[in-house]
Amino acid sequence: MEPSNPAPEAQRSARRRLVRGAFAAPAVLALYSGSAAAMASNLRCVNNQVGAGRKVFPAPVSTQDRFVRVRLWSLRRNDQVRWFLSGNDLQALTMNRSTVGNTFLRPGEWWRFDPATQLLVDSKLTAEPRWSSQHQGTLARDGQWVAVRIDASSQGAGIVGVVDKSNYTGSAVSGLCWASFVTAAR
Amino acid sequence: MLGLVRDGSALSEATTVWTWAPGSRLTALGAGWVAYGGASGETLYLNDESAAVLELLRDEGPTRFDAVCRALAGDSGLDLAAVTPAVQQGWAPLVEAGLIVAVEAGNAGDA
Repeated sequence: MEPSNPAPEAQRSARRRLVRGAFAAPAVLALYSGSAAAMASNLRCVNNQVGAGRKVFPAPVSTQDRFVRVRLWSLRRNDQVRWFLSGNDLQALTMNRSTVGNTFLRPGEWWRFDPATQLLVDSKLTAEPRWSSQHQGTLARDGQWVAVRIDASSQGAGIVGVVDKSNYTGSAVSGLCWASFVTAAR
Repeated sequence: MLGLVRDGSALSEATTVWTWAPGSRLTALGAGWVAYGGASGETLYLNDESAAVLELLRDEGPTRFDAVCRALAGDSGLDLAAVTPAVQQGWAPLVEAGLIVAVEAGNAGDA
């Protein structure tokens, strides 16, 4: 892979800056643009994105809950498209700690998601989705981002739903909107 | 593709390798680091540990999680058993931020 930094002398400096005898957890903090900071409400962006008629805002039920986002998969045939959430993507984010608590969507499972209504559709699938019994369709990971609540209680993280814990409804969250959203939700 | 693990293999499994997300940027800023997530389009502030993970994946190419932990244990002079839980704790945010991506072992050379 081609390194993206223009300064070769700086490439290993982070590893050199690690203090001998100490190691903290890697931390990531989102930086906010001026426009994002000027928003009257951190959730306004999500509110606008979700649109009228469906205002599903998540509220953490404990301080251990946090939100991650995964990208929807498209299943296309001709001019039509369906969207799906993949259990494999969730598994990667929870680092295999979801074995105990993840009853929502396990590796290998799929669940259709309708961005228009912000609802999961039908039941979970236990195999890669097909367009129909006659047609496979084309599957690609190129859709919107969906917020997923992870409950870190008990022995590990468990995915308990898309945004809303009780009924598995949710909203697609992307870009700067997500940065505002996670700040408010955590 | 961000975080794609087609076979459902998890972070700690030998078949999963991780790489620096194409298009990402990393630069020092004061006592920390600023990174641009190539897979998310977001700008993020990192501590030394996060930056070290990114540097390692950027410079070494696709690497398994356990190999990352071993390298960082060597850098910090700590036991692997002490470093691994800390790295694991901070791994998901790196994926979520679009800074690192999972690739299948068979595609590691293409990453």
